[in-house]
Amino acid sequence: MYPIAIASLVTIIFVIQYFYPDPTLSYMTSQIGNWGIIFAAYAMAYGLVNLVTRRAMDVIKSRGRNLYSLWILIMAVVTSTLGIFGGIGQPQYSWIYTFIYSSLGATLYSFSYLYTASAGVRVLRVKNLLTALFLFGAVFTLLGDVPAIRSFVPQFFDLRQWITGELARGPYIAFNMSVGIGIAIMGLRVIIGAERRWAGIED
Amino acid sequence: MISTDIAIWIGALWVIFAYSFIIRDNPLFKFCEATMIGTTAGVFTVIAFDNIKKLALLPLIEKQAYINIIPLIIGILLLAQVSRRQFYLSRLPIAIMVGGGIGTAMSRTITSNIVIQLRSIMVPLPKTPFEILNIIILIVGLLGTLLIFTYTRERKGPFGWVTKIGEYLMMAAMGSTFGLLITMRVTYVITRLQIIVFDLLGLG
Amino acid sequence: MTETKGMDWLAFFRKYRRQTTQSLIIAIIIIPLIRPLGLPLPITERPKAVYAIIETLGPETKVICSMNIAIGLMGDVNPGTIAIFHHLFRRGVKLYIVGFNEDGVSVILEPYILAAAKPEIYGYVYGKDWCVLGYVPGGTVAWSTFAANIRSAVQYDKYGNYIDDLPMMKGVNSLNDFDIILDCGGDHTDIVVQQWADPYNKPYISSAGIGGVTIWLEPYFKTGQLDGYVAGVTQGAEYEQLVGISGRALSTIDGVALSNLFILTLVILGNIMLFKSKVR
Repeated sequence: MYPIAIASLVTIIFVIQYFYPDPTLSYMTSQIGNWGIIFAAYAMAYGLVNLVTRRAMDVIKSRGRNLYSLWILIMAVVTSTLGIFGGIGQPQYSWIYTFIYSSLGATLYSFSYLYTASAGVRVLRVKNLLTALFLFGAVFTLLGDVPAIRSFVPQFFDLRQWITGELARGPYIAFNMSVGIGIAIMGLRVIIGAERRWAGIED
Repeated sequence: MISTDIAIWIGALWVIFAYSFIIRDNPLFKFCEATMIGTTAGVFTVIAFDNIKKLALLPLIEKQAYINIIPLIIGILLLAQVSRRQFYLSRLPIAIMVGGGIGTAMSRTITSNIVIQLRSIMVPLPKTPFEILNIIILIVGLLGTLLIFTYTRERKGPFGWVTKIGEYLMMAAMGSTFGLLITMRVTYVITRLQIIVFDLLGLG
Repeated sequence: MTETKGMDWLAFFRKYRRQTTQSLIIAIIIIPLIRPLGLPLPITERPKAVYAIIETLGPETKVICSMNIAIGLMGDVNPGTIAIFHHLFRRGVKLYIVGFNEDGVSVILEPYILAAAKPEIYGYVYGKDWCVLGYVPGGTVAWSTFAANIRSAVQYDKYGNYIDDLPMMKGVNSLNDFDIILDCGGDHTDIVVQQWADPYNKPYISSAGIGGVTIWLEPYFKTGQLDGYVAGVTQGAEYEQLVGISGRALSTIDGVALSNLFILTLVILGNIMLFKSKVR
């Protein structure tokens, strides 16, 4: 009961502050915003504890033979120790962040393209009118993105612009509005206390 | 000329190890995965600690902002999620986070996602046949897509036709987004391969 | 014999379809990197709109740049961002950079963006002509807090300087004191529109990834909430041409062109085979 009321009250404070920016309300909303970040930080720290515990159990059960779990453990502990005790600007932590976390992260993320492309080749098949339209949208967008074709046949680019700018505009305005309506309804449900699933209470 | 910069070598090795998965799953790729999982966990923990330090500990110690004791104590309650008996304690910090997040999003989304989007379709009367066609497609696409998500009415008659056309236009829109996604993601691969071709091997 | 050979190849392809497709894509991308094709590149309307806006800016213009490029989107967004930075520095604007995700100002700004678009070659002095206000955590709330009162969100810049010690921060207290918004990243277009551009009524240009064109960029551009954008590496290459710099985007678009054509070829072949099998 009390958490539902607190969520409702905090939502009302934020909404009122938007339409009536009183200094006291602005101070309250910025403080509550900072509190949210601190709570999220606790959740992240719990995530690390969870990861370290599970991987340590893996290593112990396998008597050190599960090298991947051991490596995950080493990297997690070394990175967090360097960053927490040395600070974010600490040279070794910065090195790990730039040459391992960002570089490897970008590489693994780029790998998703190969699967998108090979999946795209299988998905773009004409089986009925809906899939034909899906293919139409995808094919002419891909063609319009080839600069050489664009310079020899400018109409392909005009068609691509028409598809992305005019044909897709109605549906995407509808999506944006649906998202807006959904958020507004969710907000109203939180305010009146009807939305309780976040508290683990089923409707 | 092959580079001797260790940073470039490390970047290139990551690309070779990760892309070796194209052939099949292998220890090199698993090594990359394990490295990524461990480093990500460490980095996020450091960010979390840094946030707590900047937003709560430093103001508390340096500026005697005693109000910051409240989030430090309430945040600990979040860890009560692990216990079935004490789970209810975690609802307090979650309530504050939910209220703040939804309050911020709700107040702004009404203006930007609804009012201004609606205003954008109130355009001057079209003059050319092409503009008339575009307006018809826009209105039918908008109404049709919105009505697709209405589940309280059977799709028959004029309602059925509008939702059908909305479905078709939505599929064409999704297709164009898929095409853009393919174009976007190929640049990620090209950037990674540029490390090997340009930076490491000095070709091109 | 030929038939058996053909069937073996087909059987091989069916068995190793994913590996073959992906390996061929990699090979096709590498070719133009080693031997550029030099394909022509016409310039489109959206980058021209950004160019026209930046051409109206001058030495007293204050530009607030939200640097939110995610590591995964670097390849797509960096070329356009670097070209826009060159253009801004050439116009002599005052540039204030702030980040709302962990990667933008911490990982990508210095080694990639500023290493390519060096402010010092334009005579820029840190603290007087440009500054980096650091990373502000907190998601959507952080954007609105920063916009309402900068000092409630940021007290120190990225390098540990107290922001009131920076000469260019004098008289700059909220988003009202800036003249134009530049967002680099594109993932937060809706938040920029909701929290900055609309409430404070500021012109807004974006350097973004191409994936957001239909979802955010075009709809907001059509409503006038976004005044121009450079999306993806192709438009980044166009902007490089407009500004007259030679960056990596031009070598990238040959690879984009060939891989798109390869995928289209496979799609057409796949549909022909599907049609033939249905007819049979």
